[in-house]
Amino acid sequence: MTKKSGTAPHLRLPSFDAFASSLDAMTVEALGDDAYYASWFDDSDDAENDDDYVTNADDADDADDGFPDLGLREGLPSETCSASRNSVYVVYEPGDDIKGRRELINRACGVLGTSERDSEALLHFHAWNLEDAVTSWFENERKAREACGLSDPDAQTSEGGMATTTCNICFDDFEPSELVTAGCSHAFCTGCWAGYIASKIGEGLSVVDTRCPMTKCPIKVGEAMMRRFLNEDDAKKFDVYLGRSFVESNVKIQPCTGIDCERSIVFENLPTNPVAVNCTCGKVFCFSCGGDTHHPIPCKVASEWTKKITLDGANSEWMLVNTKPCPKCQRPILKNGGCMHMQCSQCHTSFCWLCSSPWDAGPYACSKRCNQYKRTESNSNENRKKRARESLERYVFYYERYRAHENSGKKALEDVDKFKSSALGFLIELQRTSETQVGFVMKALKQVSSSRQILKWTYAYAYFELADDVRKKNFFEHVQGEMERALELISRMIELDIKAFLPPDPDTEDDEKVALEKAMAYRYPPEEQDKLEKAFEQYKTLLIDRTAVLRKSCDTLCIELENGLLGMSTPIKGSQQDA
Amino acid sequence: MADPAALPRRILKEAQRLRLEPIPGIAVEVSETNLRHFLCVVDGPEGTAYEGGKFKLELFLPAEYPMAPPEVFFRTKIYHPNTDKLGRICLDVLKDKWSPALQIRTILLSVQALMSAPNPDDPLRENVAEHWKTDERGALAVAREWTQKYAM
Repeated sequence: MTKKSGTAPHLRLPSFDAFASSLDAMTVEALGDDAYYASWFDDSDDAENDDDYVTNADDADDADDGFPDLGLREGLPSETCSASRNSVYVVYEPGDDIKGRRELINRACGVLGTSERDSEALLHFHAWNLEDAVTSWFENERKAREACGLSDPDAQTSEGGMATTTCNICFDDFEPSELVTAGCSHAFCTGCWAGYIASKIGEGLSVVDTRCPMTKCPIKVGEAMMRRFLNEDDAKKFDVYLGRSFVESNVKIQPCTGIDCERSIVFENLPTNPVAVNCTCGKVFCFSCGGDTHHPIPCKVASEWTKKITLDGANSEWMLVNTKPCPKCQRPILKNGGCMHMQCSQCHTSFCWLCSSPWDAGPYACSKRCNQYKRTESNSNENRKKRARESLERYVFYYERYRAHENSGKKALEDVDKFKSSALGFLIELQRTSETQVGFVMKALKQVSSSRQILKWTYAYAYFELADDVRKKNFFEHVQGEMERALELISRMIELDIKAFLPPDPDTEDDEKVALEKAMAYRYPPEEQDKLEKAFEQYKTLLIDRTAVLRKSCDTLCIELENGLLGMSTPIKGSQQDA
Repeated sequence: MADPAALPRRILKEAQRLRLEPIPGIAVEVSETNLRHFLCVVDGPEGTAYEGGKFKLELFLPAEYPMAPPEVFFRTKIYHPNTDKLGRICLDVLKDKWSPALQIRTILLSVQALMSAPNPDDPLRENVAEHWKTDERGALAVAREWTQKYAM
């Protein structure tokens, strides 16, 4: 039981350290090991742990992470797994990008001791990567200034003794005090500056990198100077452009891919693995590739798989193996009966399925005597077909499982909503308890849904990455199998076993309204109440433990995939249990 | 803005200066009907295939000028990779490299410079550029021929 204390914190604290320290323990410890399983049973205060999880995320919110306080998200909360656990991200509401940008500029000012104008130009040039900006600045300040369009502070003295009193744009004469420069020696009147900057706004996003109006002058016009000459409408546009440019050039930020969603996802530290992010709008997507989430497998494998299942590539393979072209019209024909005499449904040509020659020998046999083996190239054709068939079978195997988990995952997601809208209320009523006491069912449902999502992608991974390495494949299948088993145990509990505690299924004759009324009026028989409450307690303990086991095996699978299945070189203690 | 009465002082000044200090080798005349419309004649630069030719150009200052670049067209046929049949000119300062500190004067000088240094790597007429790249001597001969035929 002492072992437990080493691993349990991992569930309580989603922090990186706790997570990392649990890694070692987990790869060594077998999943599904009886002793280990028992340890989860003992740890039955787990329901509170899950609540801790929420508090914990809130605590982290208060931490000084340098981000505006926008409601911090801890990866996908408890129901997801490893990769997202150690990566903290926030969701920018529209307009927050400007705040985040300002925040970063202020940070740079603090670190470098530079003015806001300098920090802004420097960060813009370095795609808002503070580390790069700082490095370049300290390596060679003069060079760094030059690169990002800042004037040399020593040369700036020329501004005082400005030679010209004529505006270089309107050619009118002005008092030197009426002329303005962007930090170089090129002076323009305020009217021309306003006209120039307004015309730049009209050019779109490039306005964020406006330079001095003088031909070939590289000096960047600072944000404060821009704002000085913008009218109210243009200032609003300018803010939008600043925000968009900040989001687009900063690798730590991705705009949400949800339809019409204008939020962005922001990471403080860029995750090393592809990570699923969950926008406030509900969209879940892969931060790295912008595609639908495919955690825990790499973006490349996921996109290859998606291409394979959507493209007719696999389809044509199926056609190749299962159909033959009509000898006359070449339409693909699928044989659906026992007899070798085929007739094309389109052009009505009769032919022999075996040798594709015209069928003219009456109803009983092919006139070409195609039962006689002839050594021809058609033999190698058969080989090719055999290989194609094998490859197809392999594909279908993985595809079926991928689809099955996808569909079940979708259903699980629907179940979460369904449970929330009806069963949750019944349970609270019938069990005479509170919402927090039955929240564990929701957690289990969510864990099932996210686990299916992960499982689904592991089949794509296996299809592409594990074709040749038998050892890796066996190890992978072991870990995957453990997870599937844990998953099915829970699935059964939340789909079937829970019915014992809920109103009976409605009569098929009742319409929706009547069924709902009946369900709402239902109470346990008084003599059963105690018994059912006790049973529910047991059910709760078991489900919480099993959810924890599933979560852990889910994590293990993810970690193994992220690490290229290195865990197989570590001895597995519990493997004898499989025997 | 297009109202000639509201013609910016800058345009008037530019026109005045062009009259007082003409550009050597370039004649500029303001249209009588539209003060934003300029008719120019650029001498073919010496030592080039365009030498001896007088090339007519039309220059128009849009309402946004000088925040937007002038529109410049060749009105004399010219065999040059950075121009097209309609006389349009592919020149960076007429597009993204435009700066309000540039003027009619500098633009016309840029056009003259473009005649001296054709840039077949950034062509407007693919076939002429191809000719330039594969057979520069032949291309220059055609350019000379066109100069004699259309610009003299």
